Amino acid sequence: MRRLALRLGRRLLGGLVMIWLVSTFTFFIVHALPGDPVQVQYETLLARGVPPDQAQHQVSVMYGFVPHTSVWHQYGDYIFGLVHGDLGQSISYTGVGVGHIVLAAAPWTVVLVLTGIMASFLVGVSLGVLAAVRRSSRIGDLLSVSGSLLHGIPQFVLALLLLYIFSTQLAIMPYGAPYDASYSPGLNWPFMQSVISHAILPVAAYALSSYGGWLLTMKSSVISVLGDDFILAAELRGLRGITVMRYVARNAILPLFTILALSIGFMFGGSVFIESIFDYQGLGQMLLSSISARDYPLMAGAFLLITAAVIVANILAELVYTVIDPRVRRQA
Amino acid sequence: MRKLRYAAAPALLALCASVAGCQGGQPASASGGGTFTTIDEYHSIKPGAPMNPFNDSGSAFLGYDEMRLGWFKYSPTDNNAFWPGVAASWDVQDNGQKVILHLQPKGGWSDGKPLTAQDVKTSIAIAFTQGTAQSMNLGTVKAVDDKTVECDQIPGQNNATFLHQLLGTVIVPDSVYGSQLPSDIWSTIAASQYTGNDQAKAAAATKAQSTLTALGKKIAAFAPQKDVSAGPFVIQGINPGEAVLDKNTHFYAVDNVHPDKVVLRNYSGNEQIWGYLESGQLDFAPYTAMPTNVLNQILAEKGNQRVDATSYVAAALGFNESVKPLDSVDVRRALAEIVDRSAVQKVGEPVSGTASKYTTGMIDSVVNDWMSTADISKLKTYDHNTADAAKLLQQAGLTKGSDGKWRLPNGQPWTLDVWTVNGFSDWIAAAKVISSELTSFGIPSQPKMAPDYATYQEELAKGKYPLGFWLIALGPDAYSTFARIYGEPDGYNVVGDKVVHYPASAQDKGNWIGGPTSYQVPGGGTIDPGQVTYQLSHVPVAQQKDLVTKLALVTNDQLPVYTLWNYINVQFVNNTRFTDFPSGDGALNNSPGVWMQLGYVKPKS
Repeated sequence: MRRLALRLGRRLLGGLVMIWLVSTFTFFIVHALPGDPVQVQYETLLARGVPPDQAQHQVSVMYGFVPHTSVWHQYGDYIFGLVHGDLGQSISYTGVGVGHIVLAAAPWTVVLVLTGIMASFLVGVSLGVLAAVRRSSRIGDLLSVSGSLLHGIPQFVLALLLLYIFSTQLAIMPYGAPYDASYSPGLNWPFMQSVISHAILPVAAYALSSYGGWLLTMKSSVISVLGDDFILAAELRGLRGITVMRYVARNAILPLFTILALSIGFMFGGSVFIESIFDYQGLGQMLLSSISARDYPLMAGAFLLITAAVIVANILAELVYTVIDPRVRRQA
Repeated sequence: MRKLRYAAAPALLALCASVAGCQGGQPASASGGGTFTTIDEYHSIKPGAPMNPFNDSGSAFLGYDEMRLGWFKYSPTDNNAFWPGVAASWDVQDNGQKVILHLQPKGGWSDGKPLTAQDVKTSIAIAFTQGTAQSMNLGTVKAVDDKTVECDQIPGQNNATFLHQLLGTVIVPDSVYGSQLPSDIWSTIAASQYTGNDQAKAAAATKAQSTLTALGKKIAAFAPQKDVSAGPFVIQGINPGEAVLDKNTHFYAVDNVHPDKVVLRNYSGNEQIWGYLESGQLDFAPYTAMPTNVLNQILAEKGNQRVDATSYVAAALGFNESVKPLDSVDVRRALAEIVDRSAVQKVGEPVSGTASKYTTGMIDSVVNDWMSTADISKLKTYDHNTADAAKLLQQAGLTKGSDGKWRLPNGQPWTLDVWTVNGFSDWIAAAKVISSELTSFGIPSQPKMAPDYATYQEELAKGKYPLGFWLIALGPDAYSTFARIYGEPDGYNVVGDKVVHYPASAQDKGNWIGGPTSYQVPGGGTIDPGQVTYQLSHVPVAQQKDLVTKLALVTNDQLPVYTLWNYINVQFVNNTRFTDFPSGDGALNNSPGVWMQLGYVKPKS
């Protein structure tokens, strides 16, 4: 137990160092981008018919949110704020806290991608076992082909197809918002129903495009485990088929847990296409709009969250692996 | 089993439909006015944004729950033509120095409170914190009575856009925003306006200006708990992607407003709007660039109809005159004649409207409003004429080599790339045509793209592009129109009510056109185009014609930019659920919220 705690401590420390390194790197990358947020807003105001002098005066308020000290000074402020839990103020939201904006967008990405990943994982793993066990039958072949096919179709193509069929042509599925704004958010059926209906297409796009990967990985993992000596021993000892399958599944699924944990970490950054196509206002969309507005603090905040999620997921994956696989635990 | 399998598909669809509920533009109900579904062109709905019109990403929707004192009629020759808004009427006195606003007598906020002069005073005080009141030289504001407000320009100022800018002021409730302002706000505003030589007062003015700026930031970030609107609608629910607005029964002209609800959809790209239009979900949509097949699909949807209005924007090529040989007017004229505008305009259709006839700095349709027939006859049309272009280049000292390519006077080969922006499909398509025409003529050219508009703006301002696309004629008023050329792009900035000119070498000042500060006007005289442009903001509309004519003639003769096409404001309405949409310019250039205030948009019986 003490060894586990030590291991956890080391990992957390390593994770913090990694977050600092990555946030430093992204800070300088973000600030190296050409473009001026104030000029972007000035042009936007002119395009809306605001007279040039008025536009110039108007952006002066926004100008106050753009740091004008040296990049190193700004970096110092950024790290100081970070240590104190302050991600700074957004430029394009004229002074609203970055933490507030990120927290407003993150839940929708979590709902969308977590559901998508879990759905694809469960379906993919179950069908992967079936495809491995029935690998010599037509069902096995069919499942493998479907997995390869769907895995090969880019996510955005699948998303566009679903959107076109169900929202544009048949017009039976909503998109463009996480729920119908007429409903009050809370634990009430109309609201939940609205959230579900708005999430069906993006989740389906996510799940359909990624279940093939799970299926094929699980299939090859099961086939590999099926050839292990301990399975042969179990069969020779006359254990029931379901027990043998349990042994197979538990061992075959181990490598997939690591991928699952990493997928969850990457979900914040990987949601850009799906959110963009379905106009689902999560972190991916927020990141895109912050880049076009050159909102440096918001970009840095979004990147930080993505980085932290990946690193935390990595640590969790390692810990979970230690818990579920006695061989790794012994080595540790 | 087979039956079950065949039943699966419709059952799945039925399940989807039952979970999804009623989608799309909902029919106008028999009992009321129905739900009007649309998109706010200038306003995507963002997560975490406050319901505050002073926040750049704020959830406040112009014409629906965000109100102004008046609504501009988009007249190119009358900058002061407005429909009533929160102000029912106004009197202009002392040659435009004083404006008396008479507020809507029945005006009320959605929380039941009456609309008063104090609301207007608070809103104008906020305008000082946002910088907008300073740009109109507003001096004092006085509540004459509960429904009357007197506004005066700073003594000695003569801002011709005073009324225009004043009527464009956003009005917010004092009950919500008043607490954000300190009690001494008006003395701070007064102190900030000092421009004399008294050092103590000047220091106090600087301090007061800083206080106002700090207040501006605070107010912009302010997040009211709920929406309180003086407009025809008020936000009932909002999420990151959609806003639902209910009719405000306290709106002063509530009888004019027919729809019961407005649903504003978010959009993050053109594809979303296309999708909504193709499925007939929107009752109104602004135009977004689209391929012809998408346009046809949209128009094929039942009820969808295209409505065109004047767009006070033109697409042009901007020349960087600090790059040789573009400093030569003959070279610029030659380039204008090499480009076949009608071929270029065609690739940008339908939004590219009409190929430009004249390059005057204005859109073609207003040339007749501003210039006399005699002056119009002086304008060159730069028709496609490669033989004449070759002569002009030779006149400028360029030579054509035996390889058929043009060389600079120093014998170096001449290449000229055409710069555009990634994602600007009409510009990109046009740049390809222009590059091809230049290359065929013997000037090797390629279309080049900046990764995004923010990068384009920065690099353009630094003078990195010799030839690039530029939006001009951002009117409709004459001052805004010409400031697009003889303003910041040509190094002219207004600093403390004076025009200052920065040379192209001062790269952080944005002078990328790099034109001279003195031009010979065809027909006689010289002008400083930046000074004359600034004058347009200080002389009444009736006296602007002469200045506009001079600027138009000079622009046409010297070609600091070269107009390619006049945009057209293509919009879409769907008449399945609603009817009686406006058809003329003016109203169409405002948001549908304003149409509804004016009595347009009725449910279809």
